[in-house]
Amino acid sequence: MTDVKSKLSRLVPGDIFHASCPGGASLICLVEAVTNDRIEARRVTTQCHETFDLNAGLVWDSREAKCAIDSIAPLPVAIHNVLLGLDRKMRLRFDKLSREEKDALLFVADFYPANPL
Amino acid sequence: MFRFFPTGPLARFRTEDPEPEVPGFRRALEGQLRPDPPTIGLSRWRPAANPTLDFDPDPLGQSSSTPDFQPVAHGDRMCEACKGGRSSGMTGAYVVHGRTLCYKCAVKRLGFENEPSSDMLRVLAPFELRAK
Repeated sequence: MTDVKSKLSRLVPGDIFHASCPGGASLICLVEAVTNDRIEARRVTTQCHETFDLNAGLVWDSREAKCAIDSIAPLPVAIHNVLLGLDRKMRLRFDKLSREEKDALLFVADFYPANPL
Repeated sequence: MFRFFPTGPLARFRTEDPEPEVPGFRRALEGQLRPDPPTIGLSRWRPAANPTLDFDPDPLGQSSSTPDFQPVAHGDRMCEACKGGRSSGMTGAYVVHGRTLCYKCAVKRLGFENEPSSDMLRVLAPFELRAK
């Protein structure tokens, strides 16, 4: 448990990590803030706000399905930048995804399972 | 011209008295039909006091005005883009630009129409709704 905490406490605002839900949803999250016991983040794709427990990496709200952080591996810079652009696009513009964004999502779908926490 | 069949044992029918009705089944006076209980809101339905019934519909006395269930689910989320367009409606499973969309609408909205189907679910996974 402390091992998980020590890894998760390295996250700082602006980092991107990945969490997965029992139902199969993939949460690509951008860190907004890190406190003593929580990680405040938002999903890049849906812009939903998520709060994770820093000690266990589980989603904070116990009423919902137990989504867990499964990877904090640093993405390649190009992919990271594309995802930051995707975050901004999903927040401000309502366009279809570009080829680079589709490729980045496909890359992420393989990258995070290959680099678990 | 006439065909005669050999006489022998013939098939017989039971002519015993019918068995008495089992308590708990629908029963009414002759010539009367009890309306079927409503199928909607079944757990709230309680049989009305009926003097023609010869059994106690609530032998344990569990009928009360309070429902015996706790509502926990509101049902599927409907797609916000096609709920008026398609007759059956589609279950919303993805969130795109703040709207809950079904698979087909999410694919259209994100511009994945020409992508191979093997990649489709992998690309759409980050847009999936979180289970509650």
